Amino acid sequence: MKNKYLTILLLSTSFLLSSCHKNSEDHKNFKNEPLVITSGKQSDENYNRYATGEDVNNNPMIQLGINELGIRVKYTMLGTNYFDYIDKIRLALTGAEELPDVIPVYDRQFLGEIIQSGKVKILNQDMIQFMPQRLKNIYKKKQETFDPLIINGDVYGLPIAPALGETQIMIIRQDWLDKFNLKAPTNIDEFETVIQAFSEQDPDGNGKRDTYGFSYSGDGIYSTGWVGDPVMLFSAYTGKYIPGNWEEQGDGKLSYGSLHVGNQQALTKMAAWHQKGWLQPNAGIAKDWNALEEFRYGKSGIYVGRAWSIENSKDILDVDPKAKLGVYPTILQNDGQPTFQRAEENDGWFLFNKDFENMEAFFEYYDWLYDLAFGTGNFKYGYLENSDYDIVNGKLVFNPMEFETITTNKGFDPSKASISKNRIYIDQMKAYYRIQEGLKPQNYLEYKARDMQSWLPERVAGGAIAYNHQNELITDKFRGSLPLELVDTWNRLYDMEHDFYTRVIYGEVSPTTFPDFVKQWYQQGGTQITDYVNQCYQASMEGNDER
Amino acid sequence: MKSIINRLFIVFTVFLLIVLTFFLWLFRYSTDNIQQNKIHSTNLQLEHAGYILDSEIKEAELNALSVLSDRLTINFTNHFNNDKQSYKYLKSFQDLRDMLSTQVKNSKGIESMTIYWPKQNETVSSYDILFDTLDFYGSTPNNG
Repeated sequence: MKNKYLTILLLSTSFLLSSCHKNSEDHKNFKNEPLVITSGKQSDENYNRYATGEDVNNNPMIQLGINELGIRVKYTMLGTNYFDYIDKIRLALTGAEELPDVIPVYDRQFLGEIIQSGKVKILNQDMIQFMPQRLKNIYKKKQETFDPLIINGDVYGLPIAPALGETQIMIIRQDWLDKFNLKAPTNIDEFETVIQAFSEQDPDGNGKRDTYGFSYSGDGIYSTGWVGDPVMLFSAYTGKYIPGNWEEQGDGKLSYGSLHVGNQQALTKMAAWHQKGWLQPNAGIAKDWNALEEFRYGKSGIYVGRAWSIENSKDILDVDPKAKLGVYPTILQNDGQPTFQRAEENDGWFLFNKDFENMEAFFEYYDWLYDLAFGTGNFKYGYLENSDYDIVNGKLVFNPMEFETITTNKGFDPSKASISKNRIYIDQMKAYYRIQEGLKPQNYLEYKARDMQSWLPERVAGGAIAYNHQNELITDKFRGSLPLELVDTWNRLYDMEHDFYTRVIYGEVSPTTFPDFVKQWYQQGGTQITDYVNQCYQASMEGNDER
Repeated sequence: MKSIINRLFIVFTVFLLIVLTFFLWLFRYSTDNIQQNKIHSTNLQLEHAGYILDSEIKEAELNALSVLSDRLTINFTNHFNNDKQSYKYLKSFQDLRDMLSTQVKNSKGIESMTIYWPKQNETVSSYDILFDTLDFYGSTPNNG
């Protein structure tokens, strides 16, 4: 009897223990299981750069998020390019596919479209409740970047990394300039002289006429805003009224820059240059990067772009080891005023699936990325050792060619694996300016800039020029997006504009038909759009934004 | 009494050995069975993957055939001897590129399409950044 009781007691204890053990295991597993945040990504920019067995969802940056925060970012919607990516989002909006938790968007028109779909989360409460103070301070200084995200007082997303993008500079083959005893152009006439010499006087000395002065992208509106930009040629005649931007015309109303009468002069010049073979022959179909590519292959003598592009265009040294790069501000207008270019105030927008419930975790991850900009946490020298930087024999190095273990000159880029797509900065240009001025480095970018002075000084000098010319960046004064009923009209006008500009440059249409183009633009729906844009502008000026 | 205990012990040992042997056999049998099942299902999966790959290859081949015989491709090749700075050349390039992009968009298994004419060294691609190629990133650094 005694034994019977003993057995029952033992069995009960073992059940109790086993059940306790099971509960404890479950809890442990749950706690150890990283919180998954799904996201969209326009393209995998680390393609070809992963180590064996790694991919977009399994790489050192994703692992770092898991190790340090217990957050796994998982890209469930991956495009091959931006247009492919937004096609996928559009499909998901119909319910055919699942929308990810985080939806990064990079153009304002699509931003409006997705907000109007009603499938996007309103962030008012989450921002108050969960946003870390550091992020609040950053956004407080750049409140205007929220404009396209606010409808009737509701906030539908977050601007990504609000900070002024770098001013574009002119990158020139300095060795070609020196060969012909020329100085870097400062106005349109000098620019003409230089591109003529670069095209007609055989700067590469191969006995063939296979070079030209200037490469640019003409595949869209003639203002790219970041690389391969021809906008300075237009701004030389139009000032602040640059193609693609809405600008105040003096009576409190906005007008569309592409319609400014000065563009006719710019197009006349470009058509003449194109006919003489002084411009990139296929510029009309060249994407932004293609302009850089032409420079890198030693075909073009000048391109305009942000100074970071030098990290790619320096590869001209593989083609011509004697090549030298010169960095200069963009040309001036004939009256000595600067030419202007499109400003980028943030790197796209984060939108969130309306069913997403982990905003606190998202904010934690996003704030963590900001350690890089502040030189805090584990990101003082970069996101990852041996990717952003390396310590070789006790020395901090940023040149991938000097890393101990890297095997190509373009290794895995942790920033491209992060949810923000690019590195996050507070004032990128200032970092180069500070280092150029000999000040002590304080964060990743400044440490890198200091190191770069020994192996890519043009990049640092270019960044400092960009800082000194940041007043040449002008923002689009229309910050909203068009309603769906005007989107088709706008797309038609966009195509019409691109087609007209390209036809003029390629000699198909005379520049003198510019007034007809403007008239047609208004007749085909431009008047309605201008009215709408001005209504929004007036409303935002009066603080009565009803978009 | 002692011999009874001995007998019982022997019977018990024999019984135990039989049970252990049975368990051993059962273990081997189930392991083999599981192994065979796994091999079988893996083979099926591989076969299925092969089938999917084959159908993707066939889709790519069909797409390639239709692209090569398309009016836009032929139109573009007609411009090879013409002035490459002309708007007509530009337009035919643009039309062909748009057509390739549409083909890619409508296909489930094709990521990008590129047509290359080796004699003319001419390339038209649906992929925006041909710049971002292995050839570009494949250069070897100074440290090997």
